[in-house]
Amino acid sequence: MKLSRSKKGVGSVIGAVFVVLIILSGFTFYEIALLSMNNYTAAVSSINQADRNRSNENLSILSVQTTNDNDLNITAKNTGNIHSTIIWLGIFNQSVTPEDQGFFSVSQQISIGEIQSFLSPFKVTPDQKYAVQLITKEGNIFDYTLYPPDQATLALSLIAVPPTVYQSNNITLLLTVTNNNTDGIAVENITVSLLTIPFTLTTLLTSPSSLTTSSLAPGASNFFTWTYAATEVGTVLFEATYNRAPQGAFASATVTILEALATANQGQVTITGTNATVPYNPTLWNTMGGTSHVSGTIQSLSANDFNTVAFAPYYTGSISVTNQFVTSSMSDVDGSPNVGSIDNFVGMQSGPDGNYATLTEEQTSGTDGSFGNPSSSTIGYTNINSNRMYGGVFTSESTMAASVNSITFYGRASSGTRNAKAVICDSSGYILTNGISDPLVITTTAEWYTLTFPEPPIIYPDTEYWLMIVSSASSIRLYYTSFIDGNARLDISNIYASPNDPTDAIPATYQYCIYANTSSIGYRLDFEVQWTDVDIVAQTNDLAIYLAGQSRSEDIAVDVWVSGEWQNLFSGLSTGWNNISVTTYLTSSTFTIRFRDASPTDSVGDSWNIDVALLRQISQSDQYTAMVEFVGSSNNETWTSLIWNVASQFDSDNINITIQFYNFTLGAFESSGSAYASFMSIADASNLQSGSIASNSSNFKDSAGVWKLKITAVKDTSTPFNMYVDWIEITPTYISSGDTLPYGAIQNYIVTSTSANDGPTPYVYVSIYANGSSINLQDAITNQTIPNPAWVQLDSNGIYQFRLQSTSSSQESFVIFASVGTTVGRKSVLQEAQ
Amino acid sequence: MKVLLKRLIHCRKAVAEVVGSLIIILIITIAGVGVYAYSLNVISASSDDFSSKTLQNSQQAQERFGILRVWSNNQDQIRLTILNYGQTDLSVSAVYLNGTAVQQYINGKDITIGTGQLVTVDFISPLPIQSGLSLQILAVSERGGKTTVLYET
Repeated sequence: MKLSRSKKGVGSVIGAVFVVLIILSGFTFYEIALLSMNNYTAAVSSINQADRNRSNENLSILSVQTTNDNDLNITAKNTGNIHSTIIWLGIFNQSVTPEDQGFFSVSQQISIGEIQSFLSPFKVTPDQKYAVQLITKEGNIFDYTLYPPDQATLALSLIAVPPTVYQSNNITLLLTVTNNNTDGIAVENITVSLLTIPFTLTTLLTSPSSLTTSSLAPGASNFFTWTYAATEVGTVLFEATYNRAPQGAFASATVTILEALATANQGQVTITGTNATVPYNPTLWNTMGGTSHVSGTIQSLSANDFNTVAFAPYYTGSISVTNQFVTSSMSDVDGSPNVGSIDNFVGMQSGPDGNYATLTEEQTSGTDGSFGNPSSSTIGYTNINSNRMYGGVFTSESTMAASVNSITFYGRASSGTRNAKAVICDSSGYILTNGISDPLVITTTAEWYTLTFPEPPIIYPDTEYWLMIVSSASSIRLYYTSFIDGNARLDISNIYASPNDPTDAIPATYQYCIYANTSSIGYRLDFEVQWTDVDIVAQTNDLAIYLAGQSRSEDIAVDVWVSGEWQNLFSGLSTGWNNISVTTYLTSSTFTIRFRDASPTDSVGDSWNIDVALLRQISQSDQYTAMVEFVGSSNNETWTSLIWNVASQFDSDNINITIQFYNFTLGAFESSGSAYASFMSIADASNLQSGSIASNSSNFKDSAGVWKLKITAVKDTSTPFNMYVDWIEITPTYISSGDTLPYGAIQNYIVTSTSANDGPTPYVYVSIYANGSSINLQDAITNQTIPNPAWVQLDSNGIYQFRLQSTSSSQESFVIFASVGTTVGRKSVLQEAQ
Repeated sequence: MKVLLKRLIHCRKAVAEVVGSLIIILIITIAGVGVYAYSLNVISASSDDFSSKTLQNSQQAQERFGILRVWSNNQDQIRLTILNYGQTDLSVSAVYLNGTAVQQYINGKDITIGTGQLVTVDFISPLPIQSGLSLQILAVSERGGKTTVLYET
């Protein structure tokens, strides 16, 4: 018993072992799955970290300069939040077409906040346009574009201080070179020059330590200062420009040199106005086309503050109609050959002009049939003696016309053999054309005899005919199955050799065993024509067919080929135009129809004259346009430059917006250049467009100072949008002595201090004070606000430049004081009312 | 004698029980081996499939690449310079221009790009290149990753 129990235990243990093994395998799978998931999570986490690093990475390319060895010296600053590694350097020569591209592997580490310079492993060709790409390990790309001076736009400003000097005094020339390219282009190797005309009136005392700027970043300025001694009385013109400057790119200043005073010179402080800028906003708008004003006032346009003026567009969509004439008569989309013919197909491809195509039916044969009495259940016979013609009256089949191939009768010769002919006559006893059969020998065997027509006569459907037998000799027995009044005709005076019309036959009652064997015939038309290269995007597509005429009254039907079968469009065409929409059938560039006769079983051929078959396609392109002209006033000064800003917003994407200033010299709105902007809207996103007009900026106002710009918003859509204009402002700069200031204008002044011997007083401190009620002062070099009064230091040339803005709502006169020690310079200013 | 006979009888009964037990053990063993082999096979297949898919998803997630520059000879040839800045190798298997697939590649297609490496993909444009034409160029990797760039000829 113990042994027995022990062995049962072994079985359980073995089973348990396998269960344990299976569970262990499951755990192993779970472990593997867990490991895979961990690996996946780690991979995703790692790439997410890389994505975050990429978004936190930022490099600023401070400058790119060409060295004497024609290498590019690239200086970049890490302005991001992570350490950057530049792994590729792309250099693209844009002076050749197509551009030369080169990528060079580098390994340049830049820590956070660090500035690093490195040389390119590639020598560039001087004075050519280059674009530079820095590609980091994180996948970010930083671009920089470097232009030679002759292919970039630089703004020059030359100020002579003072504009009027006494002989033997000094003149200071201050030249500002600004890179005002708006598309992020740096300019390299700018060398400025100053020309003195005539050169005999002055003597150069000091000049800039270097006249060359290796690289000028977008928006950056560089300053150059010269000092001249006024040696002779007269007027001297200074003209500054730079190497290979485009025509007209120069700045000039004029200085009048007066005869020296008899008394000894004293130290002096002068305040000289140079130029001023004034912001102007529109004073009215003119909606154009059907544009309508929705909300907002003109005052809303004076600040970029989301206080907007809304305009609604008007519909400017268009409808275009195209007539596409049928292109081919050679198609076979259904695999069945055309039935019928077409003559002068080109007549269908234009007009209607009387030049038409003619579609003609074709005679076709069909199924076999018969009519008459085919029964052989005879009850008697009639003897057809020599030159007699007996037969029955029967009605042809009602379906279609037919040709009669033969006539069959049940009979026999009374003895020996006899010859017989079959004759078919109309209901009056006239033999049909070709209505006499070939002769046949009849024997004494009673059976069906068939007599064949050498050329089958034609019969019409559902029409009464006589089926007759004429005998050559006495006699041929013609059997009958019953008696029906008037159903037989007996002509006892005919001629076997040349049978004549049995019009004098007498009616009889025999239902003879005789019938005609027929083959149906009909005149049919089934002809395809086709359009190819059809535009299928048109919203409306009509098939138009002009039926000029037809030979008889039978209708001509028109079907369209769609999805592998014909669908009927017209059951019959009327004379003149026949139009029907086929838009639902126009699913490809090939469009096929067929002309089909309405009665394919008729026995007469018809023809139809089709003057035109065309597809009339109407395309409607929806579009909405909002167009508003904004008009403002300004001053009558000569503008040296103009900065403009337009902030707007739209409630729809992909609206094409253009901003155009009116050029009063050209008499038209600008369509390109710095007085023009174009962009696509992003729904509900504010957009600020700015521009800087560096030359001929006075062209954008008339003699009264009126300026205007036009905003046009266009979108191909069926849904109107709204245009919200937030801010429109122009800020012209003009030469100004600073004696009179418009309200809010920013006037630039230069304070110059000279010693008793006319030399400059560098680095001395000057007190500047303007005694107006609403005065703002700003350092013109650092753009920092300074207090009023301010205590500032002159530069090495004894000059200090500052800006002044007075915003007293009413007219106000005030005085600017600049004091160096006890020497005081004064300038009286009149600020105009608001 | 009776006792001996009795023992013999008992002994024969024990033999039958032993044989029966052995047969049961054999059946259990065979069945156990069968079930175990089947379950091992199923588990192994599932495990391999899961691991393979997870690896594929990982590689797809680690894929990053971008088109650095586009070059055209202004006739029919276009070149894309593509950077792999992801964490796995990849290759470009298709390029589309405004939705039209490129049919004729000159070089660069299906070439493995290591991490941090560049490759140029040259091909014949399926669209006529005209001045001022805007092309949206889409490059697709073999794993289905995409990058796009707008290029004006």
